Amino acid sequence: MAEAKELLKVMGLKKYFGGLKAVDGVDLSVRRGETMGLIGPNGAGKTTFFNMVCGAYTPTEGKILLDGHEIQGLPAHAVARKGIARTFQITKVFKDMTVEDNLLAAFALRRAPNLWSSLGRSHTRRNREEAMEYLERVDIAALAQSKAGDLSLGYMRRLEIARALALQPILLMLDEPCAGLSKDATHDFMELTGKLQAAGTTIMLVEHNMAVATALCNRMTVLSYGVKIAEGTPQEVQSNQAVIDAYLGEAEEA
Amino acid sequence: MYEQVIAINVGLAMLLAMSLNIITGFAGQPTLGHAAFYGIGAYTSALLTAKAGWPFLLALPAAGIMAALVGMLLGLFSVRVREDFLAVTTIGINFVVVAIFQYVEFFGASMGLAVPKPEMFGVRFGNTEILGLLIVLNVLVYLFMRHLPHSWLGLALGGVRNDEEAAASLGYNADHYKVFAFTIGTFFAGMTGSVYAHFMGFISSTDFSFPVSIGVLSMAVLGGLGTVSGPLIGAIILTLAPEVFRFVSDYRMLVYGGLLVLMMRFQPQGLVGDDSFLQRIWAAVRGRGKEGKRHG
Amino acid sequence: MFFQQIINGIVVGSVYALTAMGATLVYGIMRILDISNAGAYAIGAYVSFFFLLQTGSPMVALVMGIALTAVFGFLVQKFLYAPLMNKSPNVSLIAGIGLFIFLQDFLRLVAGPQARELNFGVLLPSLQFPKIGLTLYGTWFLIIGATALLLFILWYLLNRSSIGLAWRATAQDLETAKAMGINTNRVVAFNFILGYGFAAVAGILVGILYNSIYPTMGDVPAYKMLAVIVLGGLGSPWGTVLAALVIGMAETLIGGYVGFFLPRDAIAFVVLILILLWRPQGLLGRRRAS
Repeated sequence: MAEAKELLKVMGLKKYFGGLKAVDGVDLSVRRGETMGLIGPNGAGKTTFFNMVCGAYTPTEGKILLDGHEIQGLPAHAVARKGIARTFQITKVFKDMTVEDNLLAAFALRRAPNLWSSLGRSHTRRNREEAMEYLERVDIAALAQSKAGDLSLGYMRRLEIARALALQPILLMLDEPCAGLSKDATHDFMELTGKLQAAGTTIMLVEHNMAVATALCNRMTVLSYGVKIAEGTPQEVQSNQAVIDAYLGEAEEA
Repeated sequence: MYEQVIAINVGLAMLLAMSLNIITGFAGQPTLGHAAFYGIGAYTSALLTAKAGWPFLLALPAAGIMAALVGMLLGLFSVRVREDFLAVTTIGINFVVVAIFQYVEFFGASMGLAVPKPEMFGVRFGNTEILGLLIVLNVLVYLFMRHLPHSWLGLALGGVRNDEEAAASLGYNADHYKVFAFTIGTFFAGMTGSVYAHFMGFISSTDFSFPVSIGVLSMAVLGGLGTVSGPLIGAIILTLAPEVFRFVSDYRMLVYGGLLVLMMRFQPQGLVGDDSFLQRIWAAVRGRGKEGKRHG
Repeated sequence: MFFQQIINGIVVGSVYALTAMGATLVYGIMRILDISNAGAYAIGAYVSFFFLLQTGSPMVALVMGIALTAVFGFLVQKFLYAPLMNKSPNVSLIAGIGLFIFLQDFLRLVAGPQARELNFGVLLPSLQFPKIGLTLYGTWFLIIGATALLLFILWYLLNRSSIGLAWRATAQDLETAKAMGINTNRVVAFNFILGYGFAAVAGILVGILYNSIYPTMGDVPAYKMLAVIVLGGLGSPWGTVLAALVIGMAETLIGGYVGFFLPRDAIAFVVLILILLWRPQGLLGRRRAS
């Protein structure tokens, strides 16, 4: 059987919190090797959608297929084991551990898959060298022995991405990776993402900032009030009247 | 011999502090009732040797396993009940376990239990042999603790301690690791209880009451939770403190309480924790040559 | 017999509610299990006892006992807990335990280890109803009445005063309250004054109830109040009242009526553990968003 073009396929995904329809029947697909942007004004349901794909929330209804296998409703750790790696909007590095240990922690998925093997030694030369390679990819190898909690926000984001990459995921999901970053750090991030794209990584990213999303994504899906209002290339989406209205509405409210 | 008895007490305290450190220091789960597991080990070993006639060599690991089984239950509980709710629940477990020892006839109730002196390989255990056994156990547990920060388990527990959601995003089932930490920690505490029972020759429920748990936690926090050597140092200091302050015997508890307050206020990270005053001295002594390199 | 047990339960519950209220308030803002609050409970009783001996006036004794303990609470906050606010909760916990041990031994050294009578000269008649086997002691009315009055004062403070409003906002989220321009340092100070004042009242009233105070009188409250505040939902004053009644009732009914083989303390904790399995956030606690 030929590999499906779509790596991730989401069908009719819903999440209701009591009476609130945070996500209300969204279809979406991510093709291999592309960068899909999930955008929309505040409160559109982007993060809820993202969290359902990552297993943080259980959908009320709908299907999520990764590589043809249903993964909806699986707990977050099981989703990670299926090959989805993620970062967090508010970075969640392991603050009291060194940068190197943060990275090594991501190897366990491949090197120590169960409780008994977890008793084995993690800090072997091979593993540490490999950890350094990932840190070099995001240019923080020099900080390997620093405590992760002491890093600047930009470096924490990089560490989080390196940690996610170390899982060797088939899909990388980034939740507002540029939120709170300085202009320089945002620029650095876009450069890094460019490298990942060139290496063939499939990426899905939630982004509030239209300019960043436009620059990075091959395709975009726009959510507003829990439903999909547009989909297409950045150019198509930008000229879509519904999208303009949704963003304008937000500007007026603000 | 007086010194030998003190050394045994220090050895027991070190084992307890290390076992607690696995749960609270590494996995980040509160434990205010560790003495319950110490007691479960002690009573298991006492009953197995005195009533069922088991040899000490088998009763020792059995004590650990029994404590670990109850510890595993607590671990499962910790999946649902968290943080301060869990902390107070562990106090509750301590009280319930002590009450069961004290009120159930099978456990000797208020009379306590007499424990036979153990024999191993034809040697009858006096204090010297107990001390030797404690040294062996301390070395083994210490080696495990030293291994922990460089093991997958150590990394997993670090992840769970720092952020369960992030740990899950790396494929860790946080619940499994929490339960595992409780199981290992309480296993060591149970074995220690067994040694205690056979050293004392007699146990009663109050030996494992809530203040004992507080004492063990204080040792680990005082030395530095999550560090390898901190709990050992804390155990030595707090076990020896009453002996050292014998000359002011009437003020012992006053000094003990005051010491805890001052230590927490001025060395909250523990004696060997990050940037503690001992660590700074150590770094200054060791790092004179290195300092230039780092900035060079 | 049954009515007797019910009323017993309410009295015990009232004592627990009073005793645990100080630590509840402290937890509400600081998110620490403040065991030294049980030290303040004994301190309050002893300060009151001292002034009763010196002046013979119950009023002076009551006021000074509460006021000085409240000042003590302010100092504890300022010099011990405030500097530890961003450290691991274990640190504050051990510091509080250390302070508790220190205070108990201090009282023993200063006032002697023996129990003392705290006799305020309150003489209330007992009411007897022999037909249904019920005796109502005068001091019970005092306890229940005082608890009701104090809870009303607390309710008034928290809901009708500006500092109370600030307290509730800070209890929700300290950082947000700060950003909204609330002087959270003042709230924290107020919190400790109130919390330790409450502890003192509890100590004095329990001293009157049993006509006895002793240096280690804080031992049982030290852990019992933790069970109560956790069962109530941690930091919720009304949860604490409810939990205190539940535990008071459970202890007297299960202990006295059913004849459970375990002692009171263990019953309280068994109840706690079972209820937490059902409601991990306590009776009136809200699940905090993760």
